[in-house]
Amino acid sequence: MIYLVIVMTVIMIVGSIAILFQKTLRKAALISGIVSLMAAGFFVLMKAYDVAITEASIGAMLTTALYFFSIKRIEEIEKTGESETRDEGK
Amino acid sequence: MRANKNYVIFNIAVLILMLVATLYIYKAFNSKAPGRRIMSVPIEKRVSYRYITKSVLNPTERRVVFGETGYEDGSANLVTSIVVNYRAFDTLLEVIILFTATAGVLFLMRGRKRTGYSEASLIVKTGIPIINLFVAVTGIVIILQGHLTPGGGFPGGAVVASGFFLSFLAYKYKANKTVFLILETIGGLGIIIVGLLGLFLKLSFLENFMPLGPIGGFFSSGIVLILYILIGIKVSSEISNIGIAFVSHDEKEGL
Amino acid sequence: MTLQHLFFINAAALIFIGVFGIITRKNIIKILLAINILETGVNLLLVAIGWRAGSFAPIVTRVHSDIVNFVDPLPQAMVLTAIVIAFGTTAVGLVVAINYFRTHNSLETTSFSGGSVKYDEDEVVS
Repeated sequence: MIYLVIVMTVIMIVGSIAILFQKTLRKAALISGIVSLMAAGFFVLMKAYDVAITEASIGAMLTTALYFFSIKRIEEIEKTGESETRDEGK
Repeated sequence: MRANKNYVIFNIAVLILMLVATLYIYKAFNSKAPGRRIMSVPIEKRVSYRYITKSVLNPTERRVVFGETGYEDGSANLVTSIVVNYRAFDTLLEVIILFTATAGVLFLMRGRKRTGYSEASLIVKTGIPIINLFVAVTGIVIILQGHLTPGGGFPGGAVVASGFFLSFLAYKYKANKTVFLILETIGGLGIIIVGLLGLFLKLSFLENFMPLGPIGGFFSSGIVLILYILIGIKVSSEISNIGIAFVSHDEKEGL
Repeated sequence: MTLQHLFFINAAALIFIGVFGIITRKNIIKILLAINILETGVNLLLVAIGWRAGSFAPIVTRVHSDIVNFVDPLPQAMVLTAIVIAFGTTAVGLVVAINYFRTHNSLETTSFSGGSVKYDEDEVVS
């Protein structure tokens, strides 16, 4: 049991340092999803099952999806050259 | 290159400063002065002991037995009875925070139109309705059994909202924001109306005014089921609104 | 090196890395990721305070009935709220980042004053 905790701790700490020093933004968002999943595993080991299912569904699923959506949006703005069409006063 | 060397020195300086701060926190955490250690209080003297034995108003030493009646709160999940029954006001304020975040997202993305999108492939379009069935059933079961098993309104609403996310991505979805706004309003007003009913029928806001059942049954714990269903509707429609602001590509977005 | 010491070391390391990332990073998305790491660490610390060795999960079942030996359920109720609030702040922060890219055409915080200093690590979006 203590070896499992040591392995998960090492994955979390190495993953967090890797997020800050990554060159590609999509890889950083993916590793953030992995760190969130390891946190959900920790919550199960601490016998907090409510917190585990909430962290797994909101932290790992929705936050990673939001990061990928916004990166795609930023790429589209970069490709079309200028900002998108905007209606003033609507 | 001069800027590069300054940046590395700045990083190392911040690292050394935070190591010094960690040393001070470690010394404070291990101090032997009375009352300094966080976990030195046994559980019989904490506030959560009264939540565990379900006797806050008249504290006795009664223990909770599965299948019996006559307690202050009837849900088997102790965390649910704290979140929805004993501290329901904090949950109402947290729902208000989520509403404010959604309003902020919809306001900041006003009047934009998405130009360079690409259509989804055939596999995604045919596989999404089959997956959505399982996702919806899982989400509704997690919401409905908040007082018996781990779960509740918040993760159940997030799972249902992820089903909506998938359908936004698959189809050329003319995302109708009005439906989700109406659902969110129903959820929010419902919580306040249930609280006001508690104020008029009994003595305080958001008090449990329905009869309680045996611990472990489905219709035990009165008001908790209704509140969790309303919270689930509200959270799922809010997160779907945030998804529409990020993903939708057919009409103007924003309020 | 008991199990509780390991939980605390893990949570403290995540808080340390999160604060370091907020201070020293220049890309807005990296700063938001560091805020996310910081909030994950704080939630782990709160739940680890209420854990005792040899206790059971705070749900009354047919097997675990008529006992008082539960994990502390009060920090778990607070952490439930904190996780949903973290999601809300991340969503608003990402919308602010998209609007920042629209006006400045760059994701670095140093381009605010029209600065032309080019650092060695330029991160690509893709």
